[in-house]
Amino acid sequence: MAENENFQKIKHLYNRAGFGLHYSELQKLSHTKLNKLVADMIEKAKSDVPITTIAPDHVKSVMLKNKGLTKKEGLSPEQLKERQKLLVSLNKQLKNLNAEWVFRMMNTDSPLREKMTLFWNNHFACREEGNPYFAQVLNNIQRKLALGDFRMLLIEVSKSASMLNFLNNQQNKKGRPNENFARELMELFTLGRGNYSEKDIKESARAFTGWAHDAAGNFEFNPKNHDNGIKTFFGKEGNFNGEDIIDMILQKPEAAVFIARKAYRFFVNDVPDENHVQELGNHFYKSKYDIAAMMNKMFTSDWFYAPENMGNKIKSPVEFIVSLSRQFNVTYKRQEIILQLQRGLGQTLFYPPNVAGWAGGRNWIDSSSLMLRLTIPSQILNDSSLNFSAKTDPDDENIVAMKHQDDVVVEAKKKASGIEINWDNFWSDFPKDYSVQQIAAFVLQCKPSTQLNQIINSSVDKKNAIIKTVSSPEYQLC
Amino acid sequence: MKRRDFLKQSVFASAGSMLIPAFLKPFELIAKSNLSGHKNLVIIQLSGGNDGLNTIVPYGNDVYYQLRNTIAIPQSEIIKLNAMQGLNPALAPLKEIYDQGWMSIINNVGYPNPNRSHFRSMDIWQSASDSNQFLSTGWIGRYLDSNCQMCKYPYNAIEVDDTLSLTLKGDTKKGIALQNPDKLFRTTNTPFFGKLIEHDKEHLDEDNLGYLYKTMIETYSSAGYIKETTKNYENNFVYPESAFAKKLKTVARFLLSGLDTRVYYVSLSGFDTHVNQIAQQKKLFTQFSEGMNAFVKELNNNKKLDDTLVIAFSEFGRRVAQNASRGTDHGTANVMMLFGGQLKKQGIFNDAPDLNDLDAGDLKYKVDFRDVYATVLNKWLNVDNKLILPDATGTMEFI
Repeated sequence: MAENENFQKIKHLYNRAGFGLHYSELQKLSHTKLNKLVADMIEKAKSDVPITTIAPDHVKSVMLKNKGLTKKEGLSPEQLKERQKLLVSLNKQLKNLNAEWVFRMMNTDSPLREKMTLFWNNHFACREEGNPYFAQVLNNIQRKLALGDFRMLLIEVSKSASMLNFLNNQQNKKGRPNENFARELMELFTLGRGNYSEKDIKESARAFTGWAHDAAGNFEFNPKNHDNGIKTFFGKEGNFNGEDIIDMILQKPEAAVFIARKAYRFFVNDVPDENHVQELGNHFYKSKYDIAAMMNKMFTSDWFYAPENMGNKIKSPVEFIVSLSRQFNVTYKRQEIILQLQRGLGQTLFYPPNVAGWAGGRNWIDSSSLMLRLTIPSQILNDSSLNFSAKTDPDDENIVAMKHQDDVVVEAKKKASGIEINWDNFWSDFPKDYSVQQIAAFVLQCKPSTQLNQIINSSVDKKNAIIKTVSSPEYQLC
Repeated sequence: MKRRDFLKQSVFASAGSMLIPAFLKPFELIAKSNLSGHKNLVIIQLSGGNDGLNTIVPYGNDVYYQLRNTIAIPQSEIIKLNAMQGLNPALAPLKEIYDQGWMSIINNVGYPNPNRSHFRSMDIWQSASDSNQFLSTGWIGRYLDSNCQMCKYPYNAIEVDDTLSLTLKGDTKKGIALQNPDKLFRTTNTPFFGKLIEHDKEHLDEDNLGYLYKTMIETYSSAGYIKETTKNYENNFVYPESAFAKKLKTVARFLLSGLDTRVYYVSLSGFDTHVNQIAQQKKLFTQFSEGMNAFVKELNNNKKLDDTLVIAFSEFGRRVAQNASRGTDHGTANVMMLFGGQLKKQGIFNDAPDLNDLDAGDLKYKVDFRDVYATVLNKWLNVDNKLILPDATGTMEFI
């Protein structure tokens, strides 16, 4: 079966817009025109399937109130224990949400939607302290509008309980403004430094006063806390509200270019080509911030398929875990493994390092993380337990404080088993006459080194050769 | 030219251009030549927000007893250091060290606009950023990045753990995390990886694949170097049986074997004492102080204490008043503990926290932690702190 020119391009497209694909899928797709594939992919990604792991009534304040445990003062030791237990169980639900999402990325038939959700999840990086349901709501907003209208996405994210809490907008009140949200809105979410002044931050913070959420996490505008005075923003005067500010920001083409650059770095290359970024940003701006239009433009541009943009991006830990698992049909019986892998490799979803998100690119790689990345595939594919312990996230310190230190590590190691690989499906996916060298070349996105080729050629069997292939520096790239 | 000299020169030349050849046996040669008398920094991270007020207790202040009626340490149990402050009794093994002049206590360390969330405040302490600034490098990482003569290889900064903290990650250079030299050697120096990095000129480009191969080669070589060098020393001191003490024992072995490492990093977790603080702190302080006691003595016996500075920090202190669960909630400024043979001001460095002048129930910071870092960089690691912490003053008088 001939592998036409389309073959490599589609493989590249699915690596970047998704999490890789199987040989048989690629064969099928390779007879379709690239433009149509991209359009189909985007169309499919628009249908929305929210994650519903956590029930809406699992809200910390409500649960505590129902059980009479809101305030610690005056509680008996038993009640205090019950209270603590409840908080720990909510914390555990955040991990359920994490695993649910990772499993979805491994199994979805619309990988672009999840990849875009992953992009927005890092763009609007947010930590949820104690209310995993709010984190789920925010994640579903990012999924629902992953390829929608950026303005709507920005507004819904800004009005979500998670973001309101995280950037202290609950404390942003008339007369006592809290500028945290206004600052990050411009610095990290839309414009980047240099495109606004400190005064713009101060004034716009006033416009967002009164943006709050109710106990269930629904957005609630509180007129009493809202500052109705005249604000001066970007040199204009008026009684602006939050939406006005967002609209005024989006009127600046710089915002479109800023988002385009971020998308370029996530999907195309760590080092942006400013000409391509401008082109993409202009297109995004002209389309009135239609994310689908921007992504369509990106995936159908010649530069997206230029040699310097293929097989040269360092996979994020989540991309690494998900693409490996998809490729080899790996199933995990215990979600702890999914968490341990993320922690060890330095990217635990819903636990970003700060509001700026993960820096990505070469920041993923140090001696220790690289050795883990080079040895984890063989541990998984040989179906053995994971031989490393991962750090506790600072936010889980309260759990550690309740257990003995040493137990935590032992537990993590003990639990790290229960991985299954379907090798038969892996082999049977390839044509019968396909050599192990051809399979290795398919698994990699860049050309293997002479050394790696020699190792593949001299391996004792096919399985050994493929495990070595995915234990190489080459396999870190997509 | 002798072969040895030639190797030395060629390694220096190639390290400078960031292209490190596949065979880095000569690592050992460089290390030996610079072995004697370089200064070491050991950083201890107490994760979870250690309560400084029940660590170095301001027993001389009535407010302490008023605000902590069930968790204050009774005067009779306190190991008094001066008329105002004393050690938590679970830190008793530190008294001996303190009396030798090997310990110094800096009160009221913090930063403006303190953040009470664990992850954000830890991020701030590790990156040494401002409260509203986000850096993707750690302060030791930037030290490695700076023109530091002795920071060419990952093992110049070692974290005793399986994964590397942000503190040790720079832009172009990063430290290495390991718990055990043999394990690291076993996982890196396999025939497969050995073969992979042979003659790999073709991959040492500036692109990402080149970067990956370069990191791999450095790790491979570092693992060999660490394994070989640490053979030079066996710990001759008995350490208590805790995971933390074991990590300190590993640091002592690395340090005393003459590893060419400037910075060591160790963490002890579990300080988030919202509930039943007394018991939890006692458990952790016992591990901490017994471990430190053995560590400091072993270094001293081997005449290395004068070349070593230990700094212990936590991401924040806790509120002055206790809560209803016999614990304390997240607060602000905190105490830092320093250990070493060359402390300039031994004992208590500055005034105890002023419990009568609180900011909504929290301590006001008096010392910016970045001035402590900058002083360590300037006076101990001998680099210009402006390259790493441009806004901090590195002129404190504790070393």
